[in-house]
Amino acid sequence: MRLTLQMLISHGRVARKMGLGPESRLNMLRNILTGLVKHERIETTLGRADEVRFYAEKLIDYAKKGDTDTKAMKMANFWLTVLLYHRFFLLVSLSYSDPVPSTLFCFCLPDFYEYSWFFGSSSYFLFSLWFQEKDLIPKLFKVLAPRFEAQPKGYTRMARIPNRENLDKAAMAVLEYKGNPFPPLQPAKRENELTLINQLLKGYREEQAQQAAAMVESQ
Amino acid sequence: MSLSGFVCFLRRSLLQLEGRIVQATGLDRQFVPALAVHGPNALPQTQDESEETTEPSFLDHVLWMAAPKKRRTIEINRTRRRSSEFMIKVKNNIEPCVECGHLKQKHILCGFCYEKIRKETARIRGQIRAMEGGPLNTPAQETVVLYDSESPGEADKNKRIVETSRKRPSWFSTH
Repeated sequence: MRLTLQMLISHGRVARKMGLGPESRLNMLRNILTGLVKHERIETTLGRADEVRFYAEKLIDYAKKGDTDTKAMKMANFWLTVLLYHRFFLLVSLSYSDPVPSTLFCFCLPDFYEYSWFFGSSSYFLFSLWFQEKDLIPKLFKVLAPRFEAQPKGYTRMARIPNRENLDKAAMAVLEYKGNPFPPLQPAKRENELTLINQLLKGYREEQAQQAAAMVESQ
Repeated sequence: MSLSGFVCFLRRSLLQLEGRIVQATGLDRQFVPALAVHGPNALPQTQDESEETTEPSFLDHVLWMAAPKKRRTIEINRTRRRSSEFMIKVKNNIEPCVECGHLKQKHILCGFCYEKIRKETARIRGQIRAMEGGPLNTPAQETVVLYDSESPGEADKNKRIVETSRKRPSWFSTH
């Protein structure tokens, strides 16, 4: 590739780079989004939470279209999947075609061959194992979509948490769908009646009430 | 003044005037070349020019490069190294949390309060996991968490109920 000046300068470029490449980024976001739909509240790094937010809200928009919509179904099928093994090396013979008959992978869909390499006499197959979470698709259409029917947008809430305790001290965020059953992140603000100003105001209101009552009695 | 002297003066001034007129009119000019040179010497030679227009070497620039004139004294060095630019930056966005009083940054949730919420969420999730039994058993229903001596209300009809015998924490209010 030509080493241009444009390559070195990234002024104004807003798209984030995550993982090993664009495909890796989408896989990572897919995993996070599946976790969010399953648990309704997750903790990740700040950048990943910010990226997933867009996809989480778009997924709800598609889910609102309904069960019968083909596009919505395709979106749900694509996004509610978890990548189990990426680029899993498997030494197989050339005539091997059936999936691995192990109980561990009985509910997996190992039907995605990315590409196969041939090293001399033996052959290695590179493939990624996706695991589709079949129970989350009805949850998306029957629980999350009706929950946000009245709202046009803003289905998620993101708040920053103190940095991770690890050596990397990564900036973390908690991302949740609104209306989840868990305790709220920011408890409702309650006015403290015992502050000076509030006590003075209370006394003033009581005085006014007394005066009004006295006026009514005299009349 | 004598008459002969006057005549001499007149003669001189008239000659001078004549000379000035001749100069002004250009009649004194001779049409002859100012400089005559042998042919080949007058024409420019390309080889010499190319040698002259090569860039001056790096060593010629050395004489014009910036260099410190004097040694920076330790006092000056200390002043620079200990200035605010090199110190740890002061944060003025720290405030006490309203709920618990621990210090927190303005744009970040309080660590203590969030830890409480996280533990409670983890407990609720543990119970949900026990209720579900295995993976891929998420029901297509909303969930409601009920604490000790709480009964499901009108809005909790079609929801999955997660019951605990613990007391409801003060910061988890019912809406």
